[in-house]
Amino acid sequence: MAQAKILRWLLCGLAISLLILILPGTALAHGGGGGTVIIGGYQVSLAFTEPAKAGDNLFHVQILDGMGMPTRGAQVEISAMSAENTQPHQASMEGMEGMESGAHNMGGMSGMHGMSHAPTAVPVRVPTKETEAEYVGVIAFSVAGHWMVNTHVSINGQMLMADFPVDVVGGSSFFAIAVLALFIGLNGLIIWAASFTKRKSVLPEPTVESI
Amino acid sequence: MTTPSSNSATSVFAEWNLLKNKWIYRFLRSRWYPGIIQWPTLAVFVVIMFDLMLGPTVTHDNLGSALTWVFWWPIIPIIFLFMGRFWCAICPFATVNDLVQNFVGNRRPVPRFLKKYGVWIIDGLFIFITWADHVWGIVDNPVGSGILLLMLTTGVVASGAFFERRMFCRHLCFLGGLAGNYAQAGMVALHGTPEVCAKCTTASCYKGTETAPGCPIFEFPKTMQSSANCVLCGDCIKNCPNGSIQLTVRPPTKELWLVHKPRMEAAFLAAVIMGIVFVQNVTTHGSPILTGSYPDCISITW
Repeated sequence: MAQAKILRWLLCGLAISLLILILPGTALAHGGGGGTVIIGGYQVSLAFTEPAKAGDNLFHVQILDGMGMPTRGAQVEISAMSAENTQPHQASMEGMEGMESGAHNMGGMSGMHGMSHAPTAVPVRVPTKETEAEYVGVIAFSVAGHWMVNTHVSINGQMLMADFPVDVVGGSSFFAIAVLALFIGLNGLIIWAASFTKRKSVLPEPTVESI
Repeated sequence: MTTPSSNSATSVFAEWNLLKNKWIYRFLRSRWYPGIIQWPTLAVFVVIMFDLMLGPTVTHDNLGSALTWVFWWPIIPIIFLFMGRFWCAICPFATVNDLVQNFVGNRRPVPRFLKKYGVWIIDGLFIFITWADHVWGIVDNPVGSGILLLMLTTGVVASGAFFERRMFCRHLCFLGGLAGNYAQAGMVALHGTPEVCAKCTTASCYKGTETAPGCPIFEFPKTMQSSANCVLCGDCIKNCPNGSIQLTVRPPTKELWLVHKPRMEAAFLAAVIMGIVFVQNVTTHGSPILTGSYPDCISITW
């Protein structure tokens, strides 16, 4: 009876805990980053179409001149570096769809791991629609964490560089779920074995002298 | 109902016997203690576990990491200093142990080798976990922290399932080992009143009664010389038919000056803690003393 009561309380507690768990998880499940930097008389903006996550991310770079007019014909390169671990570039970029044979895909370039901090960017294709005047690309973050996206813009021979902090979120990894499953299985096995071998206490009743 | 003994011959601070305060006495004897703190702590622990394993993978955004390493870990030595091993009474691992034990516990006696070498295993575990933190960055990795807690939980489940009382807490928990060392420097001490205990033949504090189980950490207040293994669970206070138990306030570190039987393994652990903290501060964070800078992250040692 008492055990059933404890079990009910335990289940209530677990239900409440799961409810609480969902709330912070939801609140924290945003990523994103980017922003706007004014440099050399130009306004450089970086934006992601969706919150930045581990894996491929579509981004837009917009460059406005001093008059607030979009700048076209610029060479835009982008690179990223993990700000959390100060590890060199682990992100990669690939050209937008429609790019010809020069489309780059550096995702999974393990060889990049030990490279220096030098930009390892790939040019972003300038959009064909000049009115949009946006520079669009895909960048792949290898892991979740705090990243610094370095934007290198070349306009009429003038080199501009702007850095944007980006928080990259990651979903629940398969590894974590596998570990949890292993944990539940192992503990279930232990409890099953204990219930199987359960027997009355083998301890002799202690006396004051024996203690 | 018995009342706490007024005998004060055993402690300089005996007049500060906290059990003379009727509110504290009633609370510690109440069936709500320590459950009223224990169960919410377990609920928070479950939240932390899920968040570590399935929540945001960025350490700074993970609630579990924040609660564990930024909130709980730095505050725990302070709790040890002021309240001894009180944390162990409300520790979620202990609650899990008791829960499993109530359902399927075999309650086998503690293996002899654990009684003999348990503290050395704790020493080894502490060194291993510190090493693992250095190598794999447990603190900086929510999943890593989660795996550490899951491993400890598995140990606790096995202990509760097969062995009597809180075998894991007494003989294997690395935090318990640390807590034992810190608790000796703590400001509260629980002990029996020698004159009253001398006439006692029931040993209810150790064996337990219908009111409460016996000491979960295998201590016998009648002969207990140290606070190292008292978790202030209050079971002995509930069980003692003579009101012999005292909970006294004492100057910090007082017990360390009166150690009757120095234990090599405890001294070794103290030296290891000191050494690791020193080396970690100098090597990992640079030298804050020299640079005047604060560490940029929290390590697993104090």
